[in-house]
Amino acid sequence: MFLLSAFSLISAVVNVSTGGKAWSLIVVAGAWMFWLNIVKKPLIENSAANRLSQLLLSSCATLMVIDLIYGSGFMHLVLPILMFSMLIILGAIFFLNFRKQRRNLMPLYYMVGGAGLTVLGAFIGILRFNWATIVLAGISAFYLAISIIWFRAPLLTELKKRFHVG
Amino acid sequence: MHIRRKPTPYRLFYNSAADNEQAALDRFFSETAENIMLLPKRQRTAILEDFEKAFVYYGKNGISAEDAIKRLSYASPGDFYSQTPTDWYPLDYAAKIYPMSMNSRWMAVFRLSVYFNADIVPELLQIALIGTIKRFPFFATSIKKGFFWHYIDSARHRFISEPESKRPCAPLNISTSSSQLFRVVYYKERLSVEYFHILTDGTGGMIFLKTLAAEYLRLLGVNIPAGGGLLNVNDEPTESESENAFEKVASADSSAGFAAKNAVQLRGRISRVVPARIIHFEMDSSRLVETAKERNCTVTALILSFMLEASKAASEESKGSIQIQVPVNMRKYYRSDTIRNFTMYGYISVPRSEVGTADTLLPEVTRQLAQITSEENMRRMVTATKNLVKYLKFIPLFIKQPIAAIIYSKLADDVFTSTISNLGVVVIPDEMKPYVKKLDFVLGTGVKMRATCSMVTAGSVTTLSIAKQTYDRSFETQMRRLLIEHGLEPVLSGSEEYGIKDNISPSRRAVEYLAGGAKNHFVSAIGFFVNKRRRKRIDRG
Repeated sequence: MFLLSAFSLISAVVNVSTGGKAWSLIVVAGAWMFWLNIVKKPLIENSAANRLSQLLLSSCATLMVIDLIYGSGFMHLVLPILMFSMLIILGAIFFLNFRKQRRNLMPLYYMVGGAGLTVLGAFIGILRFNWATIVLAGISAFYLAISIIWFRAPLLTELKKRFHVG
Repeated sequence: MHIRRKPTPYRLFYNSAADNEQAALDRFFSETAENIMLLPKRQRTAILEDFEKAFVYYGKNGISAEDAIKRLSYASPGDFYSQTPTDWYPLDYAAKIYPMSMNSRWMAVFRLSVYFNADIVPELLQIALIGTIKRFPFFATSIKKGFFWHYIDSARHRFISEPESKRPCAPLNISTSSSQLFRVVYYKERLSVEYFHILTDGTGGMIFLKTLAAEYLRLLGVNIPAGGGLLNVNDEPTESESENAFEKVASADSSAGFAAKNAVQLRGRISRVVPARIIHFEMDSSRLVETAKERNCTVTALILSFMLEASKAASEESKGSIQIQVPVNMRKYYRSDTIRNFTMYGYISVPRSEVGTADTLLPEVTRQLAQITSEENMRRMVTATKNLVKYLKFIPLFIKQPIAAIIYSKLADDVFTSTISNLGVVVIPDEMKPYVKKLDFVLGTGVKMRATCSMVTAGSVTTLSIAKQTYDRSFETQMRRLLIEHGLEPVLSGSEEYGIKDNISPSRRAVEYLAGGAKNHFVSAIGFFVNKRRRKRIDRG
């Protein structure tokens, strides 16, 4: 943690001294991603689904930083593709073993939440509306629909637990 | 080619049984298999193997299959595993801080041990655990992360007992949904349960340990009736056992503050692996009570005054106060059956310069102890905790957690020199007494606090345990001197029993010194740029 912070700080100082594009932000994002997915060991709920969704969301954040700095525009396509691929994997983990996974459904729904934000981003023009965004919206809607139809009770119980304030 | 397998020990036992016994064994296993049908296959197999091993043990010890079935049927999981669990529990007010403040190296863990007269039989201990856990559904849980708070979610899996391989109170692995929030370990004649503090306090932990020990003895053929803090494993758990008993405490008009000034810390560099040392002082309990009575004080006050004197001798800071944390069992004031946390704390504080001999300190310690452990003061503490939870309840956990970790280290550790948790007299049923030598209680070390003390009395033996984070021996040496001077004749045991080397090698000491030194240099460098005041404190340290 200290090493990565020091490394990021040095990059920022060098970047500011030499000028040019803010490449040090990519270093910072990369260091954070490395720390989050490799160094840091989650002490609670260290499940495969959690690790996968964490890896994907941090990758998306890093990709967004790269795209914002270099402005090549690949994020508009890559981001939704990554998200729907991960949704398919998480959906398979969850729905194919529902009895065991019913109390472990939050990574999937956090992912659906992330997908919802991405689709919203496309609607308001931050991202381009393309085939990948449509697929992402479709898969998210499908998951939400089957959850509401078949898994409403466990989903509500799980949400009650996850968002309790007492 | 047909490969002829060697029959398993259980198969040999089964073959040696009479026909009617074989039929009874078949029935036993088919009923047990049905009861655990919802578990994953690997765990089902493991539980059935646990029972097979127990039968083999009985067979080797000349116990008939019929008698063995009778004993093991009592400990069968029943319908505990036959339904998907739905219970979940928000953490109680005392527990909320623990998951937020833990890290990979430190976790709030305490340990209760019972010493039998003979070595533990692992096969029967495992069955005793299977039988006991169904009576404690609140213990059959795992911890989960909510958006605002952590919570405890019920879990059904095989709970395991294992030979002791780690230092006492080592952090538990609670990262998966099949992790246990407690650890059952055994070594020779010692059976220990180590609890993550979110689950229970000393009182609840002792109920579980006694019930487990009684169930274990029952499997050995000794019947111990329930009662006196020992539960019948086949009774239905009640809701009041898993209640958040803090809810019962009416709010006080004013709340107490948590914070105090930083306390004097004991000398010595914190070891990379903790606890660095564990010391048990065994004393005659009646002599200890007499010594306290002669001085017109309680046993806790007497030990506190010893700790104050020992802390002064074991510290180098010239300014500041020696502050010792004292957990208070709230069941003293509010009747509750809960086996969850129901403990608050107070602390006594004496300026280091005013700390004299233990005997001269006693009146002041007694006065402060009566004041801090009063119902009114405890109610104010509970009110303060409730208010804190109320203010923080809508702040997401990912924001609260890092801040809480820092605050815990500051509030719970920097402000205390040490802590003493006295579980008091634990009643051991008469039927159990011939098989139990003694109990002990080890409180895990704090984040920075160099020494934590814990005490428990069972029968005629009081055991005072000290868990240390440093190799410096001044504190425990002084404690020993004071106990001897007061005629308590302590019998010393400790680290070597747990495989902890008291004398670390020069190379290891050098590595620890260099590692600690490098860290200190880094902190100093940051402090130089960030905070002048902090730098001064580090230099002083």
